[in-house]
Amino acid sequence: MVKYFCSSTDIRSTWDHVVSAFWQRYPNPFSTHVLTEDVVYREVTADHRLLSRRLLMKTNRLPRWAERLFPSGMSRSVYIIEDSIVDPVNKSLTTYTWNLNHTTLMSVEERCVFQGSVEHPATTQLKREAWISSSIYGFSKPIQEFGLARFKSNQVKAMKGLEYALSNLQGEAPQRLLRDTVKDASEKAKEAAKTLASAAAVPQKPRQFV
Amino acid sequence: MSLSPTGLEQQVGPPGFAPLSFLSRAVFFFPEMNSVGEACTELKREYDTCFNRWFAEKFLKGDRSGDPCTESFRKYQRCVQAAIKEKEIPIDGVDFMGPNKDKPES
Repeated sequence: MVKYFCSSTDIRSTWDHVVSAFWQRYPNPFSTHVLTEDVVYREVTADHRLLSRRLLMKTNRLPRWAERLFPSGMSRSVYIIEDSIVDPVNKSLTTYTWNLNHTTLMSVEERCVFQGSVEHPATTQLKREAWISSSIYGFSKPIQEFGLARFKSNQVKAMKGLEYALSNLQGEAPQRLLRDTVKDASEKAKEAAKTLASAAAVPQKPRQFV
Repeated sequence: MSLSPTGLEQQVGPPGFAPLSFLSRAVFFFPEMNSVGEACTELKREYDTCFNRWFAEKFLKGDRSGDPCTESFRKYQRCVQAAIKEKEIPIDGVDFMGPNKDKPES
């Protein structure tokens, strides 16, 4: 059984800025669960499109009941592939992201299309779709519900991270580039702070400091 | 700031200012991303710097003149591909945009 999720939103930035920020969005305050980022393939096609593959390693955060059921899952990180096509002529960026491991437990695939508009150059439209499924018999539904909830939470963090990268690029203090409420933003920030605090409490490799 | 029974507790600040103060503190702690190969991080950062400049100043403007990042990419890839093999990350032979082939056009 596969859960399908789809949403559209407008980003108040030019497509050029959005695409540049896309490459520079890690690290950001909302991506503490993303541990490593690597470009493992890149090619400019004959028709001037940029194909790239990024490999990301993320922590695998499970709720308590899942930890008890899958204790080995706790020690292994999640590897994620993000393939993308930048088409500067049509002003579109298409990304496809999916997890390489832990797929029996849960498979999350996401397709995003960032589309620039000639009529409204100051805005970029983002359409996202996700497919979430689990093959564990008997636990499928709760795992999928959890997966969907975590995915939605990660989507919010991902957008906050992109906004943050956009603001850095534009040399401004972080501002809301999506329609959002002040209360919502501070709640998300507190949530991110809790993740930071719990990450700090768990023994892990020391981060590199400049 | 006191230690809670569960461990460190992060104080975020008064609700109205929470997002900005948290973000400004976070910037100090997150300078750059690491590579999956610990030895490759410096090579990755060199390449990323070259790429970001080329991407914004050349690629997006339709400039098709030579790619200045070939050498730094080569060095970085040699390192990271070795790390991927060593850690047995199952990335080999995975088709570009693999699972997307089964999906309907959006």
